[in-house]
Amino acid sequence: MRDVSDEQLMQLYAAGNAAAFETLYQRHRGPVYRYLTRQTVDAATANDLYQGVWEKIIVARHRYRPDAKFTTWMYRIAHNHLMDHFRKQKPTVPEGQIHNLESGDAETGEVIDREQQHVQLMKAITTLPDDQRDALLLKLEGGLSLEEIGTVTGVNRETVKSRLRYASNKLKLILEQ
Amino acid sequence: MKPEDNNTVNEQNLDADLNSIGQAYKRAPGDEPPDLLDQAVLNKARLAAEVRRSGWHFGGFRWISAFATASIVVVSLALVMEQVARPPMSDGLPAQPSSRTESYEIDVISADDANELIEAEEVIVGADREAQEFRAKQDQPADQNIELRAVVEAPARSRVEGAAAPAAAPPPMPATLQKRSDERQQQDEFADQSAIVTEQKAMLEKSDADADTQEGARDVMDTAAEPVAESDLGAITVSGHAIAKPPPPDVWIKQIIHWKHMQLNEKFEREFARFRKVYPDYELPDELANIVREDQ
Repeated sequence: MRDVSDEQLMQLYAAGNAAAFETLYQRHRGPVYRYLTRQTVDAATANDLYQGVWEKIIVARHRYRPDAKFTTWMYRIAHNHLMDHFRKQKPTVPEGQIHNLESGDAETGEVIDREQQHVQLMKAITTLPDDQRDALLLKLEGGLSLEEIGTVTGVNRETVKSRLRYASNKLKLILEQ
Repeated sequence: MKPEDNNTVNEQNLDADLNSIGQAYKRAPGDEPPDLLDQAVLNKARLAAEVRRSGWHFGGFRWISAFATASIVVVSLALVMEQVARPPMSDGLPAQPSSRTESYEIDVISADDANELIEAEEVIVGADREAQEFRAKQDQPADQNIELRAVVEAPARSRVEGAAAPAAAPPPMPATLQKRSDERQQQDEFADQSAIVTEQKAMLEKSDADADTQEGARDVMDTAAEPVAESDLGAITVSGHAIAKPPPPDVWIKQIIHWKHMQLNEKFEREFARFRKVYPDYELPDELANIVREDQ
């Protein structure tokens, strides 16, 4: 099962092979979980969203067609699930968080080591607008291309590129500080 | 620089920026879903796979049951349409199979009834008639006795013969009506027989009286003595059935005396002995007592 592609594993699972799903799940459990936790306020919500995403994948296994890349199909389900959640309950990171992050950096003026840099990066990601953060996480966690991100989010390639550019510029500022 | 080239440079710069961000992003310890969440998801996936496997079977059965139901409906409709489209075979004519069955049933019932009637006749009428016959035979000549027996037994035979050929009975009749008519017929025949027996008995009594007064009548009695002695005084037999009913003592004594007069000593002794067994304390008349005394 190790050498079998995601697409084949999904087909096997759709045919009733539960072991194929376990392999598939082990490959993608971390990235999907982080994709969701980075965009939600609390861990409980992230857990609910995570379980919901996999349930949707299980239910939609018969609709999967191998001509589509599995990760694209899977992240589209996750993205839609997340968007549904945002529509129901707008999660929002408080505006002051970005401000606090920036002001904190300015106030202390300390040298940011790698761990601090990572913490700042995580905080900065949470302060990104939803569409930019979503595109960035699809790139970083899912490893999707611009076209695939466009397919998942339902926008064209240039829009994806623009969102990523804005996101990277903001994060670069933080990392260079 | 062309716009396409500009785009390419921008994308390359974007990729470089994202790579640097990605390196910093992945250096951090990655969050993982909790084990309970993993178990919940995997259990749900296994359950779904099992349900799918069993779902195939259920689906198959559903398909088969639906197909069977549809087939039954189609066949039923086809049969109904065939019955509707078929012209009537023979209006006004009785259906052959049903009439056959009816006649068969009547045959069976009439045969059974005939047997029952014959048995009932033999049992019910037998004792009464044979008693009358016995009395008649005791006093009448042999020819008349035979005649009477023939008359008494004739209805039974005729009914047996009638019952043996039920198919010849022309109109098929319902079983209950057939039975009732047979009973009525039987009653009529019994009434006729009673009248005949009564008439015969009167004639026999008259002839008996004549025999007492006239000596010539003894000859007639002699011819009748032999069958009467065997059938009437010992074991009375009617249609092969034994009736253990002894005759009245005065009649018996009269017959015993008669045998003595006829010089039938063995028969006299045998019947007298039987008489004594049956009537040990009966006072013998002088005539018989004298005969016994002389023999001793």
